[in-house]
Amino acid sequence: MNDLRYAFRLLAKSPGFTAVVVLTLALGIGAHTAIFSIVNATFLRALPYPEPDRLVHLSETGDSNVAYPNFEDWYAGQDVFSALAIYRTDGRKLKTPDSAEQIAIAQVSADFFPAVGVHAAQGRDLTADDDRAGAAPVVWLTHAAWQRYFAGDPKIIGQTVLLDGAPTGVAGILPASFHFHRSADLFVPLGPFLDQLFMRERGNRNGTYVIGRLKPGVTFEAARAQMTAIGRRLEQAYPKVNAGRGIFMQPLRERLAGEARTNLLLLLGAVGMVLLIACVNVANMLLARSFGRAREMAIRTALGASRRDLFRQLLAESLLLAAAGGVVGALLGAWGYDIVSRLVPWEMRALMEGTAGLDRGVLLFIIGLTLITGIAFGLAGAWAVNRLLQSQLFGVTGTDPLTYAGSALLLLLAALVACYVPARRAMRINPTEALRAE
Amino acid sequence: MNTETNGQSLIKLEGVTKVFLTDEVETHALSGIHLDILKGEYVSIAGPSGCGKSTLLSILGLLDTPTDGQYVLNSRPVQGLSLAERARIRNREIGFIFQSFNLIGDLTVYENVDLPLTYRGMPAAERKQRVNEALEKVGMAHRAKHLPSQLSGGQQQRVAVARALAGYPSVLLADEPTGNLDSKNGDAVMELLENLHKTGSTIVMVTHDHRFARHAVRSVHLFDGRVVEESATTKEAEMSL
Ligand SMILES: Nc1ncnc2c1ncn2[C@@H]1O[C@H](COP(=O)(O)OP(=O)(O)OP(=O)(O)O)[C@@H](O)[C@H]1O
Ligand SMILES: [Mg+2]
Repeated sequence: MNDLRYAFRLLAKSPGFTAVVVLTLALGIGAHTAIFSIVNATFLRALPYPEPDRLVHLSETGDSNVAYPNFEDWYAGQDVFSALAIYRTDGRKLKTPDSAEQIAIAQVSADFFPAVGVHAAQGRDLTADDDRAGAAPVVWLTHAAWQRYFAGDPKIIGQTVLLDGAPTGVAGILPASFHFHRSADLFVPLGPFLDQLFMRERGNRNGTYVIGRLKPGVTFEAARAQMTAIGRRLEQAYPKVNAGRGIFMQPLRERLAGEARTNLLLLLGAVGMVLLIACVNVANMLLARSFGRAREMAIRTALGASRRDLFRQLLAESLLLAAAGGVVGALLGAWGYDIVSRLVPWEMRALMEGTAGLDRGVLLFIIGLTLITGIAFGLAGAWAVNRLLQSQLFGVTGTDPLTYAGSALLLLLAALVACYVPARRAMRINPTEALRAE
Repeated sequence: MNTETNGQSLIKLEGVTKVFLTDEVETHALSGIHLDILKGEYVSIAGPSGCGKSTLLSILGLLDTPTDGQYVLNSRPVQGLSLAERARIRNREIGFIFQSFNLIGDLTVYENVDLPLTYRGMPAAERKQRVNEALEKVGMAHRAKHLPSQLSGGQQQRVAVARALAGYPSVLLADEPTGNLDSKNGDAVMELLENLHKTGSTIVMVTHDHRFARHAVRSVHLFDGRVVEESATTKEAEMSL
């Protein structure tokens, strides 16, 4: 008889056992996948920009924002960044062909697109001419906004849209692959708005952020040395507003990860333990069961089943369990992902936008691992049975501590791998180190 | 089934010894057994409890290996065969019948009989024909779809006999096949074995009930792991123990 069919029949015959095993596995898999997906999206995966390790967050010390006149002086005084941009986010009402939508915009300076390493997929790039007072108002749409508000209309370029009632020319559309790490549907040059926002004042920081892209060959340390010197000069030149305000620099990724990093890594460790405990529990249950079935295995052996035949049969059962655990685990994981993603600081949520929920690679990894664990269950069971075989047919029974210890060890190893691989990846990352090495 | 008794040796044991070691206590289950069984013979093995009957049978059935001595099955020495090879021989040459039936409870009567044939990789059509033939031989064809738990002890044992038969083994090994049956059912199973013997099967049966031992043509008596007596059984020359 077909091994899988028999396995199915056996599992269906003991629904309680099956449910407990599947749920235990599913919980372990689900929790692990959800957390690992998020950790992966936010910390382990590179930022969604080319050469992300060259990106630096800059601010005035003691503030996350930067006054525009200071930024202008930084810009003029440095030669360590290939692009240095200031930006802020804001809300607007966008008039679409059908209705008016509340949208998020980013007002950015001329270097912004080179800084994040993106070019317009259609239309033209932003130039310094756009980024000055009195320039004709223009806008770049993200691919998503273009699809959502203009149904992907290819003729939109060069046309005028209304932003808070102000006619604005569509200059370009950004590639679909581009995801900014803050929410923004539209990008407009900052220059035309400086006066309106009172941003000529050196004391007014007005929600701005500065991002820089290190020139090739320039280390983070070298850049920091130069910027520190510039900051000191500006303190002396404008003591009234700038006293005690130097320049703070941090690799962008570290900046974004912030404190959540420690929490999420701890959580990852904790759910790793959950998966491990789940695996050990399931191992226990399956082993106890295979001891209970030693007699059946002995009969099969007497009928001429080879070790391979027995193994195949036990394997079919554990794989079936592992697969069921994987499927239910994926569902639980998707659900857990939504819950856990609320723990992610808002600055980082946009990073997860490009990733539709659970990381498929991670899920495959965990399921693969569960399958391996399944094979280990099968192996352990077959091995246990093999050792017990002799006495079974003629009525003697008993358990074998060596078999038990051996099988438990095997399963423990499988479970450890489940934690070790993500843990190792998590531990390997050190953005500071990576930047310094350049 | 194989040929009638024709003087061809099927099983040959020479100086077979089996020692079990548990907690540093040595149990000599078998000591220097010599045994020759010809094709088509019906041999009973008798003796008191613990004298080594089941141990001898599991060695004959390649479920266990002797500590010492030679075992030649079908003119082939079976020492030093790989586990897979032993499984293969067990599957093709040996049919087991146990005291406690040992049917697999989650499989139907039909599937139980089919099981050893699937391990052989036999094509489905041939299996079907063999299973039906075996079930008919033991008079259980009408219960093919039942589970073992739905059968009486005697019926279960008949299914077990069918399972042992279906693969046309060289020898049937039966360990107290009537031990768990009342005398009526026991007699029926004995009659079944006798009929199989008449149609050419080689049978080695363990029993300590000499009422049944007389069914066999030849009787081997074990005591404390040794063969103490061998005799041709007739109705007059019954073992007295
Ligand atoms: N796996 C084993 N480990 C240790 N000792 C064993 C083992 N199997 C059998 N023995 C011992 O070997 C001896 C022979 O046992 P065996 O089962 O062959 O006897 P038997 O003749 O079949 O007895 P019974 O009529 O009660 O079934 C006994 O002393 C038994 O305790
Ligand atoms: Mg016995």
